[in-house]
Amino acid sequence: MSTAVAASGMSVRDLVNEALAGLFARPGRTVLTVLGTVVGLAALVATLGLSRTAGNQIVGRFDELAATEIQVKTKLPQGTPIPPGALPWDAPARLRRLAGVAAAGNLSTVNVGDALVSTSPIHDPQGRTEFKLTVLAASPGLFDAARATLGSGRTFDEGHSLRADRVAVLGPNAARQLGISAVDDLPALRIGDQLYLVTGILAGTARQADLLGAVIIPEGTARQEYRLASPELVEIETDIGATTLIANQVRDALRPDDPNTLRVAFPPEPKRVREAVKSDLDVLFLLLGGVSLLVGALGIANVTLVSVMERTGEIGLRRALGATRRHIAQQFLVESGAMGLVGGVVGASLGTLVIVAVSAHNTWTPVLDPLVPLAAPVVGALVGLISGTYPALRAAYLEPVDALRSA
Amino acid sequence: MAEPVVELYGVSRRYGSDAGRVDALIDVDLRVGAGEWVAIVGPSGSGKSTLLHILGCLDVPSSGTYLFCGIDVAGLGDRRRAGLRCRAIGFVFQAFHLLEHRTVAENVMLSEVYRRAPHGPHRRAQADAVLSEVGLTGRAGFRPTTLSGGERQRVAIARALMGSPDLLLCDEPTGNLDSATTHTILDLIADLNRTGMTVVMITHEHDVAARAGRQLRIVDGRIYEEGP
Repeated sequence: MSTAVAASGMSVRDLVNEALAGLFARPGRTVLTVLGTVVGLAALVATLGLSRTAGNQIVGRFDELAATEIQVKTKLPQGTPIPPGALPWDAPARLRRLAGVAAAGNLSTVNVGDALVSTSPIHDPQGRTEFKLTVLAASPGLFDAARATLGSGRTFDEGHSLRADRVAVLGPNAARQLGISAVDDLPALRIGDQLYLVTGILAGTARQADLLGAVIIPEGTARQEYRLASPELVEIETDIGATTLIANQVRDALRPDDPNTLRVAFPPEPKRVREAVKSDLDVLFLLLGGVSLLVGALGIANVTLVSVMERTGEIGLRRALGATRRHIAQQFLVESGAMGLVGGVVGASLGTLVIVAVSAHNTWTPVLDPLVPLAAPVVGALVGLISGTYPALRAAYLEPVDALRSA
Repeated sequence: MAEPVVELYGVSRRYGSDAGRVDALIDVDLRVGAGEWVAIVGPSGSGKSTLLHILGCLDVPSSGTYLFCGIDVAGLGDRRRAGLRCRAIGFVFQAFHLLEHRTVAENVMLSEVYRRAPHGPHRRAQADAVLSEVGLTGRAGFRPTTLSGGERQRVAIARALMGSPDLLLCDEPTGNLDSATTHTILDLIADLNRTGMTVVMITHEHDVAARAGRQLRIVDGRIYEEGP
């Protein structure tokens, strides 16, 4: 014999050449198969990037509103009458002296007994003219601290409170009930028998939703007319990032004699909230991207399996020419892996473009972990390899005699 | 007889279990010497393809001994049997088995892939040489689909000749060809045989078998020597 019996072998270069030739043999089908992975990975990269980008927007707004609010109450159970001095009347003034406090105001529910709120009598036997409305007492700074916006007129000031003027500001819901839409005609209302001039109507409020349906009178008026003993809560608006610092100082500022009687409520550490929000969004979007990728993987598996069945004759020929089972499996795995890799590269590029386009359209700052587009081709190749494993094994375990016969 | 290339001693091939057993080959003894051209004739289902697959190390006998150039094939693993196929055996099939998306030269060079042959102009030069040997000079860049049946079979023969095999196995090499082309292909095989190539050819056509130096008849899995 002129040849020694050495095992057959295949160089990496030949393996890659043969796999590429196999892919380019049916370029249309290869492109369509790769398209599945492209869509899957583009969706994955885009959703991950958009979740980060959108998350940043959401968290930014959350920080601005929630992370700048502090509420101070007594530790007494809800509904318990608050004793005099539990919270000082001059709490807003004391708090405004702290660096980092943007606004502060007191708010209390006024016990008006059975008194109903009414406007000027209208002769309408069918309609109601008297309503049971919540009456709140507020210090002038509360409107700023609660980020209330005025729809009409003005809010009351320190002078109104000091003089105990009978003036009121209406929440938008209360105003609608009472049939007051503007203050140009100096409308008035009655709480029981007492007449109050309506100075303003709120358009809305970012905090303290109770204000929306209430009649709000000055704190000084409530103290004189309804014997309000103490503020019920203090609403504080801080500068961004100052919440924790202010929260630690509030008790000593308001009750240096007995700071432990106060309960200070402030939102969790913004950083933690940001992480939680991002994490929730990431899980959702990852799930969506994962489903897309699974569809792409099934596409590769399906097409590779069809390709194995179509190329039975070629497999038989290669076995006859000296290919081992391993060579056959390797070729199909490289083909499916290459499809995944190309899908990953194109998908990552498309996904990144989508993020940039959406961000540009919404004037957002695009945020994307640089590892995501770099990892996408690796993920694509892995998906291709995993998808191609079963078809490759089927090809490898075809008996050469059967493969040649069925061709 | 010259140094034997193929030696079969009591080779049998059975398929299936005891209940549905098919004996494709029964106790076959065969010796083919170097430089011989042996034709194996038989009707469909007689076992001639099974014999060819065993000779080509694509299948293994259920019992008996197969020595290829003195080497007991039963003692070789899958990878070494594959090595034997790519280095010492050339196959020519009735259906040509050419890859239609590859050029003629690429088809001819396909077996080099599994021989770990060095890359570069050497491969192409060898392919051009065998293409010239089978009369296809100038067809290297063509696709098989643009060639006639006879030309395709000559490409398949060229592919089988790459690596200078010890044995050329032809499975109905003229089965898909008209009579004129059949003669051309048989002339080519005869030329190769004259240069010392050992050829085992399977056919069901007696006039094709008549071109071989020695004819064997296979019936129901048993092999018989036929007179000249």
